Amino acid sequence: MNENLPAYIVLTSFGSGRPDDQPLYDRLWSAGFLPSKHQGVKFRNSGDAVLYLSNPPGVDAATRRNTLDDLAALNQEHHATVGDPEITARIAQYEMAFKMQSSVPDLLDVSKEPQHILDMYGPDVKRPGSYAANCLLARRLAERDVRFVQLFHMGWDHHGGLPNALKGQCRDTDQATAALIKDLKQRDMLKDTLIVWGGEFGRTIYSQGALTETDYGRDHHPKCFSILMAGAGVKAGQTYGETDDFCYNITDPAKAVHVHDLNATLLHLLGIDHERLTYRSQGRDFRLTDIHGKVVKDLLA
Amino acid sequence: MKRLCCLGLALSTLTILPASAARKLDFNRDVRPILSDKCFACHGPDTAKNKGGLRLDTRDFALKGGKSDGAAIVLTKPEDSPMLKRLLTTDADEHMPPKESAKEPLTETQIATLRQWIAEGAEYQGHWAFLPPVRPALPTVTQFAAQIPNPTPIDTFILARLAEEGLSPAPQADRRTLIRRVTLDLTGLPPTLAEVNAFVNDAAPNAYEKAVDRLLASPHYGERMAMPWLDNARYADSNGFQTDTSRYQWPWRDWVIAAFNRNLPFDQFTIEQLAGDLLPNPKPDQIVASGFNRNHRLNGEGGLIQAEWFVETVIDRLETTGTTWMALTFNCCRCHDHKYDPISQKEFYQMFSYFNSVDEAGILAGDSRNTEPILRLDTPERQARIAVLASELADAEARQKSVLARLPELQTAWEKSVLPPGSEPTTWLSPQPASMAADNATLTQESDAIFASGSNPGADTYRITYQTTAATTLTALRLTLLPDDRLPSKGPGRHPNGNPIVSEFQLKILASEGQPEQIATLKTTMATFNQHDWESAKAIDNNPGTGWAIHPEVGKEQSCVFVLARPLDVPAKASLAVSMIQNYGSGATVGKFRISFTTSKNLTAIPDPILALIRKLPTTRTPEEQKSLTDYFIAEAGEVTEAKALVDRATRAKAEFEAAIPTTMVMKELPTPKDAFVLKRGEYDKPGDKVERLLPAFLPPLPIGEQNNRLGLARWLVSGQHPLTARVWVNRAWERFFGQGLCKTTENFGSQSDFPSHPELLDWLATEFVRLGWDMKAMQKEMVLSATYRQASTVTPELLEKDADNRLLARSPRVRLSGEVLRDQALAIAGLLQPKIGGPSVRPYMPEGVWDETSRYGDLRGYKNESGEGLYRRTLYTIWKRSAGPPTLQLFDAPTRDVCTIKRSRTNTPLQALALLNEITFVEAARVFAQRMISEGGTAPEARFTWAMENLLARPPTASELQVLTAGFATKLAHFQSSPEDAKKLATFGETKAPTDTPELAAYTLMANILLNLDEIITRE
Repeated sequence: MNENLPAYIVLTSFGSGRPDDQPLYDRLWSAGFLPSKHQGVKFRNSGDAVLYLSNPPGVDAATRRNTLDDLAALNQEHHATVGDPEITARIAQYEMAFKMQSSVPDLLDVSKEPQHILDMYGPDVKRPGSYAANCLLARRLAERDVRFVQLFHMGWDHHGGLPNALKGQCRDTDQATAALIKDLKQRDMLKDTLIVWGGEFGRTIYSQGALTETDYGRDHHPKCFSILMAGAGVKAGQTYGETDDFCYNITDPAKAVHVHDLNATLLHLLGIDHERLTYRSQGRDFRLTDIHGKVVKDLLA
Repeated sequence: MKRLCCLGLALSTLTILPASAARKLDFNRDVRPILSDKCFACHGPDTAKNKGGLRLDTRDFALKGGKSDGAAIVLTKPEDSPMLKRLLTTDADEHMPPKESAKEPLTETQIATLRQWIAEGAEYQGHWAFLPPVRPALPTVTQFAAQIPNPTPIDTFILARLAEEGLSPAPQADRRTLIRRVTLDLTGLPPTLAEVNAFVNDAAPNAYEKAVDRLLASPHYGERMAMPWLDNARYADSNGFQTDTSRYQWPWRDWVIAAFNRNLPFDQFTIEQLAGDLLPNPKPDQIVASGFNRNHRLNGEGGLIQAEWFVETVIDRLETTGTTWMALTFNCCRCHDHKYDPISQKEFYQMFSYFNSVDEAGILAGDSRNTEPILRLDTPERQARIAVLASELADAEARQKSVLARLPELQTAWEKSVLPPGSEPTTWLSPQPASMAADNATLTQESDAIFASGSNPGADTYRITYQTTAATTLTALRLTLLPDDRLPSKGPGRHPNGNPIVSEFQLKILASEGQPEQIATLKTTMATFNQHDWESAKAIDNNPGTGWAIHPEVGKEQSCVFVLARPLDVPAKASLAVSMIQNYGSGATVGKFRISFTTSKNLTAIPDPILALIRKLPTTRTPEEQKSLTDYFIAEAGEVTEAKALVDRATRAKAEFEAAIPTTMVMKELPTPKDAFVLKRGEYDKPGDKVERLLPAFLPPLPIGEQNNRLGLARWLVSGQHPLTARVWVNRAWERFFGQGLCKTTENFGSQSDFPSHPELLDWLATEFVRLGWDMKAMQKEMVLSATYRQASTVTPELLEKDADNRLLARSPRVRLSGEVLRDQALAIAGLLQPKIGGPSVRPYMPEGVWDETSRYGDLRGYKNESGEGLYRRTLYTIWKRSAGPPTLQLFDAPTRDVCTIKRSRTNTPLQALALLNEITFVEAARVFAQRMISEGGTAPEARFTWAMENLLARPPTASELQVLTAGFATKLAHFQSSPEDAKKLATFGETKAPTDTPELAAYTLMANILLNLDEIITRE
């Protein structure tokens, strides 16, 4: 694990399919009932990628180093007086902050990425804050041992205007997603990096609203939907599960994968027994799969 | 307990209290936690899930036993008790807890405890928090008489336990530390130097008590007390879902601050917030208070199911009330009986029925303002102003009526004026462009129009160039926006609502190759329609933030004539370039348009179809033609239009004034209660048995004579008979002053709660609170006047070893300040703080993009910080958008305010360090404080740093601190003297103007920046 970067990083991008669509909420990457140091750190697409990373104007790195040395000396003295180990911890946090000031810009600097890698991710990769740029960043984060990287790409709520919108969304994501998987593989990192690509529900196969050649939409459909998984011990090259011809219901109950089953499987791939990992909140030991879930063995390599 | 000191993680595990062998076994302290944690999930109050028919949560059930083993406990015979056998067996099928429960087996100590308990007769007690508090006698402690000659009642409990554990209290804190501690704790602000000196030099025996009284009377006391209450009440300035639009609930926040300041007793504080609307003849103020239970989120998403969200709203109210007043986890019972506490699912919905009869929809009002029921905060001044505006409107309407009476004659005169007999129609030419380009869109020529398609990420600029073939003299250009079925809402814009916004319209001329390009001056504009506040003149005002738009008159042709300041001579083979800058974003760009040029001097904005009608003799017009001409005349020309505009303006002025009167969301009960049902699995559409209002059976009944409604429920909570309310409040007050509650789980007093470190003290405080008439200030005064509170916070190795968690309070805790207090402190120290109390939320500095990077919806976008006062108000007034909360506060463990939060975690992270080092507020505060060091702190660096430390920490620096500071200053000064440009840059950070930008100021700024980051500053010692 990289001590100089947050353990959970969130990258966001607007979709070109419906550029105004689907706002995100802080709570999507909040710490939930865990202590708040576990909350995701959203990398920003404007200004400092990490909040307040840059020194104030007129303060260079050497000057900052110098001020932190003064600060540490004063804090050490205070520690000698009051003896609270929390002060030592605080000094360490300031040192880590200083390291982040160089590790984050280094992470974001893609100028040394060779052209053939940039080409692989597609032309959008040069536009900061695009999905493609975030995919490249995800690889660089994985290379730096950041535990958990989550990309949010907005713009999928196609109740109407689907023909154009979906094209835009696919153009945004198709090439870059494939590139990320390929890039990790060629660096021999896919074997211990789990990639999950999906949403939290599906959409109807039939039309919502007026159906014309150029305009129609699809409503939410929770009964079945598809996700993609790759890497980290996932069995490659298979399609798992079946629906009827209208994508309405699951037709092979034996291969139905409930969200709890999916989570159990993801945890298994991460080396965690979903039945034993618990966290106590409000007096109850919570599991991430509630009291359900089974590891789907067929999905494992 | 392990502590990973290197990372500063406060691991959340059960605390093992220092155990004294001499202490007698206590069911609630020693046995219940084991049974509750290991057994109750299957053998507890949730009857539907009982395994083997066995319950262990009461003695009767345990002795009756289950299906297989008979009585679970054989009194005084642990080895014969199936309960113990099941814990000890090696048979995996028999062993408890079973493997599938995922519970860890009991430890040897736990088993020994149960064995001893059974041997002693297996006496049960009711759960401590559900039994009425019994006022204990004060312990007698003589051991520390020399050190603490006058212990308060609180002290006697703490000292008795310390004596029992062989520990001693810490010495009392010095006066400087104490005044900073108590000022931060009671007002959330640091003491001023004058306040420190007054206290330090006050020889009166009650000097400290006087200081406490002064702080309790400070108007900032109410602000400090409101801070955690806003977390409990899930207060925010937005609605929380999807578009997350704004709401105006700050009058309720003002009520809370004022209520704390006037020391409204907690029983009244409770009744007014839960049911102020139901009081007999409630005052407006009491109705405002009931907004407590309207602070929940409201959903307005398209496609929502109203019945579903209505249920969510009611349940949020029930859970928030339960957690805030009773520290109960009611949420568990939404779907099933509680696993640990004696609350059934049915009882949950009985409670639900106290909160479901509000005159509300349960979803967001369509216009995304405050959602009914609301209270408009009328005042006599506002009523008077409305009367004035109403009479102005009446005058305007009368005038319009008289003008309209002369309509035919006015129209005839107008027709003649715009088109004198014999005049030629204006000729507009739309030549083929030589080139077309756009930043994002693809522009295509379609006949004489241009169509935009392809990419439309937000803003765009179109550039159209023309080549002249012969010399000419132009007088004007015209931009015609054209509707088209391919565009959303038929256009003419590309935004879903069809509205395009032209920020700037420009004409440039390149007379011939090699000559400089000239910008032609456009003087006036004439548009067929102007959106309110987006008039066409704004397309030539050189302000890219404004522009011309046409909402709601979209989906049809609109045009605007741009008249040149003077006729423009254009030679042959010149190049003309038209730029349409469309900066608004959100894709509000033009979809289809035509550009035309004219040499005519007879210019009018009147659209061609109208001009054609004017050319017709009135007698040859059809009635429809005559009507559309008259309509146009009324809407667009002359005296009639002015009269109409006056009416519109007066109507708008009145509406805007009325709309600007603050409202606040409140509770309002329906005359007839709504039915309530058990909801199976907690789902809105699966009603089961109908239920009536009834309070949970394990708690006292409704006091005799109370109505069985929300008001009765509120009075029940504060009747003095309720076992939880007073305990919960005193425990949270304790947490504020002593770092943690006597019962550590301040959010949960149920069976799974932490057993209090000092149960008798908790009961004494709870009974005292009721005895004092729920007087919050009096209780807090009792706490801060104790010697326990006044101890030094020094941590000794011995204490770390014996009581790392400080549950025994042999010292005062050191507590990292909250995000709010850290910012308030920095502003106060710099002298920047604007002390105004209350009012609407403000917009201080916030990094760009915090709102807009995750949403392009709703009215909370495009954040711009205020200038002046709004930058420096106390942090609890900062606008709070739930989906993107104040970013610095979030780094310091603030909740999202989506739901009720009782306790924030207290973390220590590098991101916090970055905020305190670099965030503009803190840097500006450091710089302004540095200015004060220079102007008020004497001349030598030593004097200035001494002044600084006294102002910051209420104490002078030590010799070695002074050494570090002066040496550090010399280094920074030398650096900035060699890079004076850097010094200049640093001086410009923040809105407050620096009097100078010298290397000296820069060096002091950085030293102040260091001081504001001291652990001692960030911490309440």
